[in-house]
Amino acid sequence: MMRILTGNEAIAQAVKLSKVKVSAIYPITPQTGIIEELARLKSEGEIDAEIIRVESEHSAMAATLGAALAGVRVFTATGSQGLFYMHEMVWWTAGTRIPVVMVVGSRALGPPWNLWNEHTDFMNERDSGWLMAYASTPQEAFDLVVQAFRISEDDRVFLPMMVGMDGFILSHSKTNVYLPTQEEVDSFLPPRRQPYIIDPQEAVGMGNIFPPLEYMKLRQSIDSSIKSSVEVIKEVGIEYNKKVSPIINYSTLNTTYRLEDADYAVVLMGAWAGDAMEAIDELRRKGINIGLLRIRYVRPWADDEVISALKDKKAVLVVDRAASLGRAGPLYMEVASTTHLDQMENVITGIGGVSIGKEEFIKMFSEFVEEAKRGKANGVKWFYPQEVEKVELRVPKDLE
Amino acid sequence: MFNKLHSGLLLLQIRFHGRGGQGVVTASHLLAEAAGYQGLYTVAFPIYGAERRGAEIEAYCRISETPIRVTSPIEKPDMSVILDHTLLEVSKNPLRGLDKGNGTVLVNSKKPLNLDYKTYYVDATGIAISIGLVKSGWPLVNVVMLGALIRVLNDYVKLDSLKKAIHEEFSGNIAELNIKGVEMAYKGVSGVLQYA
Repeated sequence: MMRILTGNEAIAQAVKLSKVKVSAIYPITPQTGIIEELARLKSEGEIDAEIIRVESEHSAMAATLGAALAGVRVFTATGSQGLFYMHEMVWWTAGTRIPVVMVVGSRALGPPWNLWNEHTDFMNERDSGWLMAYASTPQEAFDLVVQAFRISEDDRVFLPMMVGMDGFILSHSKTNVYLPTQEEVDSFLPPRRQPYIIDPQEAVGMGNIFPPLEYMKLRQSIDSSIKSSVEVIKEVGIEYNKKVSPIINYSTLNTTYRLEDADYAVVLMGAWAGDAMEAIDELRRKGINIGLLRIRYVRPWADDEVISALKDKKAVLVVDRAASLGRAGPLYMEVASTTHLDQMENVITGIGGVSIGKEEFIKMFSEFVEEAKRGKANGVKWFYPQEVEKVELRVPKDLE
Repeated sequence: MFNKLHSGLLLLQIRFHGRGGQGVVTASHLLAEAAGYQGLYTVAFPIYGAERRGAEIEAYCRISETPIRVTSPIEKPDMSVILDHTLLEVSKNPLRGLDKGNGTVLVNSKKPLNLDYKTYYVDATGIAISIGLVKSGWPLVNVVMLGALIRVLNDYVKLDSLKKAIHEEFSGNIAELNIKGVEMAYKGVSGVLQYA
């Protein structure tokens, strides 16, 4: 059934159709709409999940993990400061190898306070041992959440998975979302599976101190599982297309747009891929041969897909909505460690909710192609959509 | 302009202006839901921020016959819908980016306004008060304005679709009063004659 839903509402529907049994979420903008909608569904008897009220995000993940350890399908959501407050438990959860699904409604970090969208909070978890997908539409956020349960609970994976979505731009946009029937989702998503269950009647010691060599082997086993999940994700994606919804193609981890015959490539992730596609159409009409690689999975990182998409390009521009301050954008660092071309440029922009749309991309991409023609498309740049005063280097005495 | 919508529409972009608490975001959502019932593609979203009662708010609604890919706020709207005409005295935002020839403005106002655009007006506040559509002393004009908007759009989005969306959003007396207000505004909108 086609419905008009916000990203947050679509995710609540995915949780419902995936028959989640326990959800512990602490509200934080921009994902609060998810817990509000789940509470509404619960009060109207549409879901029979236990919703646990917690006092913080750290407890939200602790309660979620506890329920998962006891053997039920679980879901939580957070973003920004909330995700950072949860950070310790995010890592702890990956270490347990217990399937958990979380949505991150991404948002900038303080100080100063900022409610708006960027990807830094999500990207900050890339070393945690979770699988990580990032949506570009509310439809994709819905689809990825349903698939996340299946992937996370696959015995070749047995790792938690987070699905990111742009705060406000997706979480608060009401748009067309196709909701499959319960039967369709049931045919795709088998009952909960997990590597072990904790039973209070049979007490065991868990997570105790572990000798260095054995600890190191456990870390490597997580690393191997993430790498080998590439094939699981493709398999699950193809089955999702067949049994649940064919609208978005999930036979690959990442997607491309007008890239095959392009001389120049743009790489980015998230909602602004739509604006980038509009800009690419416009530049193509002017004879500029440019295309897009949209990253959907940050973990696992699909090396083969990225290499084959970019291998014959004259220059690559990676656009990050996040920054590893003092270095570069995290997506750029991923791409640059995967493929080695003479010209690879990084633009950091859209930070703290700075609005970047079609017009800004046309300007940015045109400048990139001009630089590439002169052999100068390299380095890291901060792109502002309008003229701004020179950003001065500040030291504490300036602020007195 | 609006007759063309039925044959050759690519993308209709509407921007709503009002004050925090007036239901600006809800208006944009309801329009999107109504368009959705007709199988149209649509995206509605607010300006992002910490909303405060009385502060200037804007929300956006795009409607299209093909999937909508752009996500940025609407800077060049086809139409601006203004829930509180006093905003025109204090802010340039309600008329921002409108085309001088084709730009359309729909204002909640008792009187006609002399603007450089195709301007329509409807006394949504008067309608809301007359039928008792008032909450905490505030006349609820957001949904009422959509009745006038549908008329200005030459029924491109249908009244029946809007009524369905209203029933989905509200229940009981509030739904009925809003529908009554919508019908009154649909009939009561005035402006450039060839379009009204």
